[in-house]
Amino acid sequence: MASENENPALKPTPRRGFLQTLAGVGSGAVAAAVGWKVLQSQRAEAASIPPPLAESSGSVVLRMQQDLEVTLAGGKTPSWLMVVDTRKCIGCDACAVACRAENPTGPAGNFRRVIKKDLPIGPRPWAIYKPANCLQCDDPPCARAVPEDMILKRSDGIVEFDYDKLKGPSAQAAARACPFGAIHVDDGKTFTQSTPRPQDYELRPFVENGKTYSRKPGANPLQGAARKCTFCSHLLDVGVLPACVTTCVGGAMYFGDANNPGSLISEVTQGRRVFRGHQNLGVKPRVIYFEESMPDTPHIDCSACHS
Amino acid sequence: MNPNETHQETPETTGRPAPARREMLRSGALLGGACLAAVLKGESASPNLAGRATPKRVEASDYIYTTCLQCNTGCEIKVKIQGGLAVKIDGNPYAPRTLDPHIDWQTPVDQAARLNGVICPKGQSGIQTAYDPYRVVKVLKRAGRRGEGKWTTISFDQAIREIVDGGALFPQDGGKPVTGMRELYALRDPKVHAAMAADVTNIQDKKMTVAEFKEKYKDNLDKLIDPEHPDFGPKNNQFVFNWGRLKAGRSEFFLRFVKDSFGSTNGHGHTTVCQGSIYFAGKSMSDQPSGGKWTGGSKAYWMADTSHAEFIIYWGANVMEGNYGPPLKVPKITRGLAGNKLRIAVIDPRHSKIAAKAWKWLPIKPGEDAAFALGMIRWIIENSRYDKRYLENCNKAAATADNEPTWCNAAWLVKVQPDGSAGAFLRASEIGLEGDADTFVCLRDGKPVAFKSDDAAKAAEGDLFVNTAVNNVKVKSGLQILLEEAQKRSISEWASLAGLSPNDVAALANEFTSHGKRAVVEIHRGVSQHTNGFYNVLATMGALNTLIGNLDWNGGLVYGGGSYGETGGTGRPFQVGAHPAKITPFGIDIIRGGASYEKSTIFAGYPAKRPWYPLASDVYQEVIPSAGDAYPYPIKALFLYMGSPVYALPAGHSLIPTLRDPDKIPLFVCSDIVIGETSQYADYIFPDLSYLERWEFHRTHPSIVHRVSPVRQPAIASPNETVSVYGRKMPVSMEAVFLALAERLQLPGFGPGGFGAAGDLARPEDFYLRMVANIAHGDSNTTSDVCPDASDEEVQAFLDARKHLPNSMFDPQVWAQTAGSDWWKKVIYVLNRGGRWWSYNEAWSGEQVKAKYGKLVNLYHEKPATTRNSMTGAYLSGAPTYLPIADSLGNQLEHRGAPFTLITSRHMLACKSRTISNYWLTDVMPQNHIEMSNFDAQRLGFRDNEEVWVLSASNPEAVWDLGNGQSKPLLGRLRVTDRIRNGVISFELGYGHWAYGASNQTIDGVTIPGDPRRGAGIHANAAMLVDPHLRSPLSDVVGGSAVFYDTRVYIVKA
Repeated sequence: MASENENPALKPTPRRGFLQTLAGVGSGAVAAAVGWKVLQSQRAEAASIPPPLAESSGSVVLRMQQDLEVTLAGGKTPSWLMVVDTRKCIGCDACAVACRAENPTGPAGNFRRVIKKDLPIGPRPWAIYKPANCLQCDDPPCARAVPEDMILKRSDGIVEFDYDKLKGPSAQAAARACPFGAIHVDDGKTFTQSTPRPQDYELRPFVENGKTYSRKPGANPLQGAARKCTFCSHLLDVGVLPACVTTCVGGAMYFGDANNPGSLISEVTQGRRVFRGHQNLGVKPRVIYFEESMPDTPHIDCSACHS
Repeated sequence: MNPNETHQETPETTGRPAPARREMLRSGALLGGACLAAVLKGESASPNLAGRATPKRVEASDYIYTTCLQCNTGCEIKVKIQGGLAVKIDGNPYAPRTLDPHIDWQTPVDQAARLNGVICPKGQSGIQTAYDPYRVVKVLKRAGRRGEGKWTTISFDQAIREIVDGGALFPQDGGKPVTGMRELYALRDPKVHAAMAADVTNIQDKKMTVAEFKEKYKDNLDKLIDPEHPDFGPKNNQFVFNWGRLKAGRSEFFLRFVKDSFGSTNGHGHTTVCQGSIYFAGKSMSDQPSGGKWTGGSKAYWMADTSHAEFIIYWGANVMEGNYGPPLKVPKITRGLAGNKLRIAVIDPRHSKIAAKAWKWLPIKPGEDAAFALGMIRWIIENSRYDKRYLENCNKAAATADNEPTWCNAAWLVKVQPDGSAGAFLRASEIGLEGDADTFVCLRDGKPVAFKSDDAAKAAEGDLFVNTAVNNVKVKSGLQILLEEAQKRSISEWASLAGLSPNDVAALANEFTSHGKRAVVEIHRGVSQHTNGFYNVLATMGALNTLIGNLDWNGGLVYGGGSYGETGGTGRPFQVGAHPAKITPFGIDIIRGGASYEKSTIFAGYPAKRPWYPLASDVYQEVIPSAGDAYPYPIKALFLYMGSPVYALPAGHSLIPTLRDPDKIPLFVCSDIVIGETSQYADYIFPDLSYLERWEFHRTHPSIVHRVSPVRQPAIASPNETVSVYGRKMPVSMEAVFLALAERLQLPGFGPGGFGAAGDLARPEDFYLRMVANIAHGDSNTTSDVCPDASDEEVQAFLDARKHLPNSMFDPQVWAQTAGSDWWKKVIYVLNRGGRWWSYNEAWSGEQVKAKYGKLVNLYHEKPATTRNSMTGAYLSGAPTYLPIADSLGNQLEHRGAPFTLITSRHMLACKSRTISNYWLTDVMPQNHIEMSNFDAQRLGFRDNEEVWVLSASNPEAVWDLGNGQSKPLLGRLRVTDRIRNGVISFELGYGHWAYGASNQTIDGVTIPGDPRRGAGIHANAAMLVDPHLRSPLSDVVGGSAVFYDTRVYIVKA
């Protein structure tokens, strides 16, 4: 026993406060790896750790719901913004499945997906998860790729497709033009059509971009239409938050009206380091990502890969 | 208590809502009402886009609030109904499992309608479990041999008649007569049951001989399984009911049939396939002294108060994929991590998603958990980093004086046996002090002090390290025994066994003891599903947490807030246990749970033919193999409900020959929603309701600190055929089966007067609506906690939301009558919200959780220490101890050069046997993989995504032999990764199906083709070791766990 205690690592350190114990940890996790530019963990410098968000004092979802209702009651045109805290994303795909259920899509594609990457950093593995959907660009490349009346940039920021027009070659062109791969062309199929008993829930009518659609034979056809995320505008219209936002298991999703300075979405973006995809293209996305680390995880510079 | 008065702490110290937010929560929070209604009048709120189609306004009547069952977390959900169909599932904002903090229970439903909580991808996909093209909707009887995949649809009434009456039911088997339920319902008089039960105890205690018993009961001997062995009980016991997922409500209903009315002792759950050794270690930790014995422990365990912990060790616990509630736990964890208030360490051979966010990932060698824990224990004790003040408290009075809700037996004196091992606790009377069989002794400053554990008046505190003799009796203290276990090896040796560094031991032990009571070890299957699982659990969840005295403290180890008493109780409106002629079954059960081999009439030395489980019950992997060995007796009928042991158990293939053999299991009846990997061998399959079509009360889990009572209730119409039982129409369900069997058998306790004077039990609602009323009544024995009546608007919303339900599932008149006028509107109030929950702030009281365990927790365990292992004859250890991986005879398992240890993992997109039907999930993850480390792949020449065979000593063919001439190869694709320990391979559970819609089935001569999407991937359980002695799945013979993680395998290129 005595000999073991000569190993300094086996000796106890005095009890200390949480912040003190943070110092000096994480230096092993700094080695850069191919394809990933990794900055040293900032945890030793307490000052660089961002202050806890206001959310720590209540339900984020409830706060966003209240914000939404304030915006709708105010009657002014909102400026919708979605913020993703990738630190909190756990790559569970709850958002992707919620999206599919809310915005009926078929096997050809989905509005939301979660990109999952293992990060070989230093002596131990890490992983990062990044939810991705249409970024509702203020200067959308998809709109530039097709005739003018097919894609509408709404005053609230949502990029809206006219499915009746955005079909065939135009749909393909729009999908190809998106640098984020957020657009797919629906083939009108369902998940159960090849089974012994195709199911009616897949044929339900739904409102998207101001029109009613269904996969039912004879209904307004989806086949060949380019489709993508609408920020669940059909839900916003009736005072409900987007499906991916409320269902998020990690609590990584924020959504709201950036025109409302008192909203959570305004609060969480203030003074924070954020990443906007494809800035070089000048697309001005409305889905932005926190670019921050947590105390015990290495910092990851998004632009190292997304440039 | 008034929750509003007890939370004056600042948010900095509690992490709980700041005052402004609390105000909002309390006031109901949502704007709702007129303010929003003005905007939402039907026209679009979208800018500049008038004249468009807009969805209908969201209203309370769009939703039915119920409870998920896509895994056993049982999250509260709201199901959106459109055109009579479920179209979307969201988390229920009223519930702590699905919104943190959740909204107040009193929030009007029309406001809550627009607010959605959190739910995982499986929860979202539940629609596809209900609307599965492969649902069984009519009763199936097998047309070929068992497992042949040929079926005939028959009427419900014919099936019930055949099962009750028996006879030559299967000409294809040679027309051998099958014993019907009527013949098995042999001993019918509850009084004779009770008298025989008492005399069987007398036989076991050697107070009566078998001959005397036979003479006394000579008129009833024909009703026994074997008159030479009265302890087998009556023939009723040859009816075995075995279940997979069964929660409250259905549990009381079904066991009312099996035990109270039919009189069989054989109702067995599936606990051990999940985490048996956690439950039964937890039972041992919570046993209390009573009359010289240790009893009353709960089959339950502890978890972390995630909201307040500063440091959590997730040990074999995949908390971001499963582990009782990503929606419950993950938001608290990510918030704590991002807000710099929580630190995580993960001990797991596999780099799970939580490991990806953790301070430390320690890839431990599978099965060496107790070794690492004993290293930590040694470090903590030798460096005096335990909570001395807590550990010295020997009883309630001492604990109370320290504001400690719990106390332990660290300082209690244990007698040392002649061989040096520790045995029973010293009783005061044994050293001449006054006291009864429950008066124990500690030393204080070297002097013996007698005390009783639950004495609230006279405090006893004891010396922690005692190794001495008192009145010539050699004794040690509980903590001394633990220290000696920990000192059996050096910290370096413990670390080396675990495949980790001694620095890891020190770093974790140091951090764990640096947060006062806000540090906690939370464990799960990775710790328990080993042959040494019971002692792994005692060392980790048990000893480590106890050493820092964190039980019942905010941020420490918690027992959970429990549930409202649905089944009745003082002051409650209904007692659903009321029964006019209740039988208390007796006899050794088929799995020998809670039974003593030595006291039985078939004791024949060691090893026993199969293990006995004196400390465990619900040993899933013993049910079918015991029937196969007819040990202790042969069975006649097996009913399996919502279980698939062939698929779910390790080495589940070893069960197939028994299931296929009508001599071993003469009648095999399954309740299932799809023809599954186990129900494919059934004689009859009764279609059950999906979880969206039926009732249940899912209750809670240890880490839910609030009191919660989610209700599972019919949300959609069932596709099942409608049948008539006791003159009432209902879709076929497990309830309908039991009701119909009871009707034909004329069993008391069902039908008209089933509750005696309290009414009829002729349809499911007769049972379940009464339970909802009990929830509405609340916690108090008086009327102080009774819930409000639903307003007229809420009543209307309730009725409107159910317009799509057929009369056989929802008849408002019948429901109102069943609940009674006093309770009907209160029942609606509960059902409109999908249950009842404490408000957010109610869960904590000062620095402690409000719902406390609040009693003795055992660090030393007398009952195991005085119990023999039925296979070796040796006494079990009373202290957490290190045991190498071994088979049922205690022989260490040999590796025979196999390079990999096979483990499994849980993915959030899959839950064992039932989610492969969810195409939204398989679209994200079409198949699973076998994970192998980069190092191993390079060393052995494997490539990523390569197809490989998995084979082991007990399955060298690498195949699922289905016994019906078909087989499924153990073939899967590799994922080469850094995220797993070298020498370990893992696969995600839930894939690799060969039934459940993956294979062809022929019904009434028509072949229904299987869906290849449902057969993708690998289910490598068949590679897991078959116990060489038992020829059935490997087990922890102490805690009962089925062993998933102790098999060495070979990987071979395909």
